[in-house]
Formats: sequence, structure tokens, C-alpha cells
Amino acid sequence: MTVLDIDSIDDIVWCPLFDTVSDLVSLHSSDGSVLNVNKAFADFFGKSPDAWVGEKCFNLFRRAGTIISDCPIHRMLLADKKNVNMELEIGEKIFDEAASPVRNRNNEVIGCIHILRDITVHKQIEKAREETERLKTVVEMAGGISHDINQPLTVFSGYMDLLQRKLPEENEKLHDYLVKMKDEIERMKEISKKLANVTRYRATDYPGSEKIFDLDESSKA
Amino acid sequence: MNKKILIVDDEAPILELLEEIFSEEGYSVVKALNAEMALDVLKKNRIRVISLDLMMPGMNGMELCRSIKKQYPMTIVYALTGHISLFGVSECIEVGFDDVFLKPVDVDSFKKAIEYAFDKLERWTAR
Repeated sequence: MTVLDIDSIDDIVWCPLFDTVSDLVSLHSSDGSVLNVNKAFADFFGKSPDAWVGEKCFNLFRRAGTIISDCPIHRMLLADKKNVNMELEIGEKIFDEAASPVRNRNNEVIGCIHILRDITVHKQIEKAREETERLKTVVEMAGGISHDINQPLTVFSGYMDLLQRKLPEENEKLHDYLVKMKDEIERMKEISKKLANVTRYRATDYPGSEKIFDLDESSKA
Repeated sequence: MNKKILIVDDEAPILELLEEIFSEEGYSVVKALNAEMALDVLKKNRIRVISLDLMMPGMNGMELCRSIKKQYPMTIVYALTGHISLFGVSECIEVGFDDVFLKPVDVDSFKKAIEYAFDKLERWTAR
């Protein structure tokens, strides 16, 4: 726990070094109001550093009209009195949000340093990796199922052919049954072929607010 | 020429089906449930046309084909598999398979391939 050799938050000298970092840095008083921001912060939100002084954090970061419970600044100031970390989405960007207490020489929390680190690219890479993993699982599973189905399908289809050749031609009704059965075997073969050719994961709606794997869309070239 | 075929597959129903199909065509069919049995059969019998499943417990079909082609180069070996990718087909060619068939196999195509295998062997060995 770092204690500064000051009495009040107004004694803090804003360090120009903050303007060299790409993280969005802001200093807040004990009620969450902005006291100072760095260049990265000003550039991101599109107003000069001076324009932010006095702004309430809940308006700025969460567009709420009042203190809200999931605000890390207020969580830290009112309850935890120690570092709070969470994720924050602003537009299309995702930030790692950290609120750290500023303590005076009496170890009292007099304000907060708030830092937003852009983790958008990191999150996109993570999401892409998860998608790739999921797709790999789906492709492997589909290939495995196709392989296993093809074994009994081979036997079924082979004996159907033999039966069709050995059945006397005069028995039209039974031949007709066999033709119908063979048509369904061909359908099963097509399904198995599609399973072997799955290259993506697509789901379709199923009655009862469920989703099921869409084999046609998932196996399209 | 002695028209004997060796069929290797860990699924007994598939072995029985292929035996039924090719016996009717006048071939003599020898069955093996795994690579070890297949190699044992080949030690004791002169069989030049062979069909191998790829996925088998123990030695798989690719390793078996490599072994067969090394010991008995004058054989025609076909892969008959439940699943294969394009990469898998090129791997099969690399280990020496003469052709690759996907289950459930089109029986007429497979029969033609077996017939072609014997024709080819006859040409190779004709004096």
C-alpha cells in the first residue's frame, strides 16, 4: 500500500510522464470527479485535458446519471479501498479498467488513479483462437461421426445391392420396397459425405427456442 | 492367374460382405481382421491383390501398406476407408496405395478396380 507525503488530493503534482503512455490515465477526487487526465485520455474522448475537469466518472465511463454499483472507482472509494480491476466496453473498444486508491500521509483514501488499457486486439485474438478451437472440435467430431457411420452403411448398402440382384424380378412389390430403402441409403450417404466436408460451424433454429447444427450450411464449399 | 484377394478390415461384417460379393464374381477371398493377421496370411499365401482398411487397432492401414509394398512389391494394394481428407489421399499415394476408395464403397467401381488389378498383374507377368 503506497502512501504519499501529502495531505489532500489538491497537493498532487500531475506528472508530465503520464502524457507519454498510451493508457488512458485520469486522476479523481474522493467523490469520483475528474481532476486531471493525460494526453491519451484527451485524444480518445476528443476534448482537451482541461475540458474534463469536474466531470463525474459515472457520466464519463458509463453514461449513467448517478453512482452505479459496478463502477470500479466508487467500489474502490466506498468499500474496497484497494485496487479494483474490471473490463469496460466503450464503443467498439474493450479496456482493462483499473482504479487504484491515492492515500495521504495519514493513510486515508483521498482520491483515485483510474487507468484504461486498450485490450481490444488481445480480446479479438482470444476470440479468434476460441473460434478456431471450436471449429477444430466440430470438424474433428464431424469427421469421426462420418467415419463411424460409413462402416454400417457399407454393410447395409452392400447387402441391399445383393438382395436387389437376387430377388426374383416378378416380385414387383418387394423390388419397390428395396428401391425405396436404397433411396434412403443414398440420402444417408449424402449426409455422411456432408459431415466429412464440414468446414465451419453454423447453427439453425429448432422449434422450442433451441438451436441445432446446420449441416448444409456448415458443409458448403 | 490365381484370382485370390486379401481383404483386411477390423469390422467383421464388412469382411463378410466383401467375401460374399467377390466370391460370387469368382474370386477366392481371404479375410484378415488386422495387420498382423494380414502379414501372416501373406507369408503363407501368394496373394497379389489386397484391400486394406486404414483405421485398425495396432498397425494401421498406411503402415501395413508400406510394409507390404516393401516385402512384396508386385502387389496391387487398395485403401478402403471410412474417412479421408485430400491430405490423407496424398499420404496414401506416398506409402504406396494404388488407389483409394471411400466407404460406403460403390460396389461396381470397386469390382472394376479389382478386375483391373488382375489385368494389370497379368500384363506385368506375361511372357
